[in-house]
Amino acid sequence: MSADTRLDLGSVKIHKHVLDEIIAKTVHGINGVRLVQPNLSDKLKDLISGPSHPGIKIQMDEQEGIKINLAINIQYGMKIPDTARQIQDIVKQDIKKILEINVADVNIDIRGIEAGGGKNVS
Amino acid sequence: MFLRRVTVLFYVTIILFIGSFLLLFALKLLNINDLYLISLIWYHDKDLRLIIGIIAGIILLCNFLFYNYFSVNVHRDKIIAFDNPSGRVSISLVAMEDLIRRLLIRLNEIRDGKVKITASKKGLDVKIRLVMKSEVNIPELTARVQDKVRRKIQDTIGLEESVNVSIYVGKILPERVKEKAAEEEQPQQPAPTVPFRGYRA
Repeated sequence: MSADTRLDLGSVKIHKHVLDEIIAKTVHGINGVRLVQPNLSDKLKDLISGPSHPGIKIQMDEQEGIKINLAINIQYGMKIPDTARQIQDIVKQDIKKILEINVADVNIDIRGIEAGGGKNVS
Repeated sequence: MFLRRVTVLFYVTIILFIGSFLLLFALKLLNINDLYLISLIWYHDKDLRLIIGIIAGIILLCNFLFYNYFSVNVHRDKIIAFDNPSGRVSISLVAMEDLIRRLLIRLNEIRDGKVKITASKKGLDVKIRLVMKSEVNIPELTARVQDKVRRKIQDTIGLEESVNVSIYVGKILPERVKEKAAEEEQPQQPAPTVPFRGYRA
């Protein structure tokens, strides 16, 4: 599945993996936020369908638009509503800036709290 | 819902098959010679072995997929969620439990703590089991813990929903254990070395 943008000269298709990469880089750039670690089934999926980021799920619907689901761990001490809003805004802005695609929803699923040094204890 | 039905059907069929087979075997309604002959034919026929291998592979794969799907769903059930203009934010209660446990351990008077959080329509229900150090004013400490936990949850999640914190003091460590633990924690000082031993002026 891919996002489809129509131009006068033809169509440009952007693969889901591109969105995946952009989102992963954006999330890594946010201080104190990390995508969840891959589990066994994610590793098996990677073997079958190529490498992907485990915490990112993208739903594309022509009527509802693009929906992004992010599963993340955040650092201990961070205020969850502010951090979540920050992630949602940055991800939306980056995709808009790079691909000129509007994202309908960025849903955040906080799976764990990490220790200060980035060590997961959940 | 569809996957749930398929899963139930899958396991019911397998259990029914195994149960019926064992029952027939126990009642001596199966001819053991026929069974032996059938298994001998399957064992020596390459094509039949291949089919059995494929069936085994499918069963194992289904089992893995079902386990994975339902274990993820169990995890999803234990969340609290709120909506932002840009989308939904869901927080795993396991993560919240971990957060509270870490907050408790930081307090000097508490040795260990177990936390269980459940979400209901009334709000969040936090149950804490504490292991305390001795010489602690329990009413004062528990009140402090309740206040801290409530504030931490409300600050972290940003929700003003009611948080009910119940505390159960499970254990108070005796003084001896405390002293012993303190002794164990203190590293033994190495004997001071005398530089230039045997030196004569």
